[in-house]
Amino acid sequence: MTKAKPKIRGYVLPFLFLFLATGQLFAGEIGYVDSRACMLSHPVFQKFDWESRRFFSTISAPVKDFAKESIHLNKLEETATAALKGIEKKIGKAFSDKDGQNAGLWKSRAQLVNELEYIRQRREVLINLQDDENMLPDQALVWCTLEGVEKDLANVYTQIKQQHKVDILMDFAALAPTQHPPEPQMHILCDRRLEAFLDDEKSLNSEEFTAWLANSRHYWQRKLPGVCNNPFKYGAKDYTDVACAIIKSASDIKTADRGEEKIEK
Amino acid sequence: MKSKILLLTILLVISTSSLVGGESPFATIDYRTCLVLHPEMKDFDFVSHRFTRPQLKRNEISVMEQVYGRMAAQQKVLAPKIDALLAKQSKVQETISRTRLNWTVESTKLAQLKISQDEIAKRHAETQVRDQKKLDKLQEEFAEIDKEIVNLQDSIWKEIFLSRAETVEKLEKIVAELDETIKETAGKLNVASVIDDTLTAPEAPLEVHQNIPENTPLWSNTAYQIILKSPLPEPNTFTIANHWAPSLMKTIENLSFQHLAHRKDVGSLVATVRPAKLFIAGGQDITEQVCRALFEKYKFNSYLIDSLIKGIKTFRER
Repeated sequence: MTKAKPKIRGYVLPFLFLFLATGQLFAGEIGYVDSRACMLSHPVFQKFDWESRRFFSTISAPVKDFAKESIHLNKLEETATAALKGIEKKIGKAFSDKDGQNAGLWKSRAQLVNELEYIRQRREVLINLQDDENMLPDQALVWCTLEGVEKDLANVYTQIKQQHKVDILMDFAALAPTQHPPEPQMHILCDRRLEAFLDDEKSLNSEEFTAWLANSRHYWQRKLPGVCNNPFKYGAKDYTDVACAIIKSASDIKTADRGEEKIEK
Repeated sequence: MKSKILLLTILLVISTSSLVGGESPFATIDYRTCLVLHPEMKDFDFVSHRFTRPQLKRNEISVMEQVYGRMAAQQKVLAPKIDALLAKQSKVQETISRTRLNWTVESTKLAQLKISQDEIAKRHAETQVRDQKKLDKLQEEFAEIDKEIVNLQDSIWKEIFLSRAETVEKLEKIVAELDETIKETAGKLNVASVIDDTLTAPEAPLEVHQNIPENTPLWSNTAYQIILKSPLPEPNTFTIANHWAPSLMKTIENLSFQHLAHRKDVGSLVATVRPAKLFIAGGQDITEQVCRALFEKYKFNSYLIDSLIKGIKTFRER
């Protein structure tokens, strides 16, 4: 009897461990973000022209004056090249120095390299536009910027999942309404109140009740959009603000990724 | 040793079965239906957009006649005031629209000017700040007038209806109670998250449903009848059915598309069709459970509850 106790304890402990471990595994948090809000929070959307549907300060920006822009690009190139040389010298010196400083220098270098890449790609775009006698670059170039935004968003979502231990992250935009509900037919609503239907049980299975219910749903959706238009009613936490705050600090996307250029749609 | 293995297996089975046997982590709900059928909603009046006062003796005709008499007298006194306020409000609205239009015109003008981008941005910002201040002031004025109108209407209807503020307060309580019921029902059913999956597409207006004949000619046209009555084509054999099958299919295709182009109602019905169910398998819908919990809380009799649940089912399956 005394020997049996430690034996049982020996099984109970692994059982409890397994139970808790698997329980923890399945009891993760469920969250959601509104991907539309996140997308519009990206810094590049501050420079989005809704009329021409192009991003300013990127390779897809519309051209106003070819000569002026060419001069501007030359100046930019001069400054960026000089700054790059300076940074590379500093990197050489700081090679054996503190890691933090070195990382900062490499970051500045990456920014300058991106700037030079933008100048190169923008020049190509300008040449093509001059050949076609057009001022508006192809829509495909916008697609490249959007692809960059989506990549940044995916990184933010991964970050949220890891930092906030979210197991399932859903998209508010996928379930939220895209249109207003139809205008309710007020005569149907005013003719008979819910009270009248409740007083006459048989009427609850009639076409009249179905029509009243449909119109009433539209009425309240219009009246209380904040309450009705949120698809997540219980158990899911909103991470939209967190995602928007992170995405606001993302860097500009001015160019098309070299790899993506080849698979433009 | 055997007993050890047996015991360990039993423990493992118990620990995993607690997970496997659990309910789905997600459930769906038709939130608007639950809200609309909340028992307290029976007092809502769609004409005045307010709740009827619960203590009102609506069964006593003589009392009600007196109340309506007082209401009519009050309305007569206050109607000119309300009309004047409405006219003032419409003028403010007109000024708001004009200011917004000016804003757009000014932006277009600036875009035409041959000045530097910085100068355009500066002027644009100046216009925006100036107009925004004006718009804010106008919006405030509009809201003030609206408040006055609501107060006057409240004073006319005060014996019968709750005021606007009281109505909002009651609505907040209803929404809070519904949310709590959803939480409780989810807890009982081991559901981790509840989603309203009825929002993505607007429903087809009822008149569209009603205007489509049950036996729509799309399915009863002659080409369909022919294909339904034809012998089935047999592969690798020369039969009349095999010979005619491709051209028959083409004819059906042409007829269908021609027909659809002329049937605008079918097109709009397809565009506004009810959203697809979020979970094809594995999910559960808790609309009925939530409604039932609310009806039971308000002590509806069981026959009424059954009729209501049947009514909800008919509505959702239509």
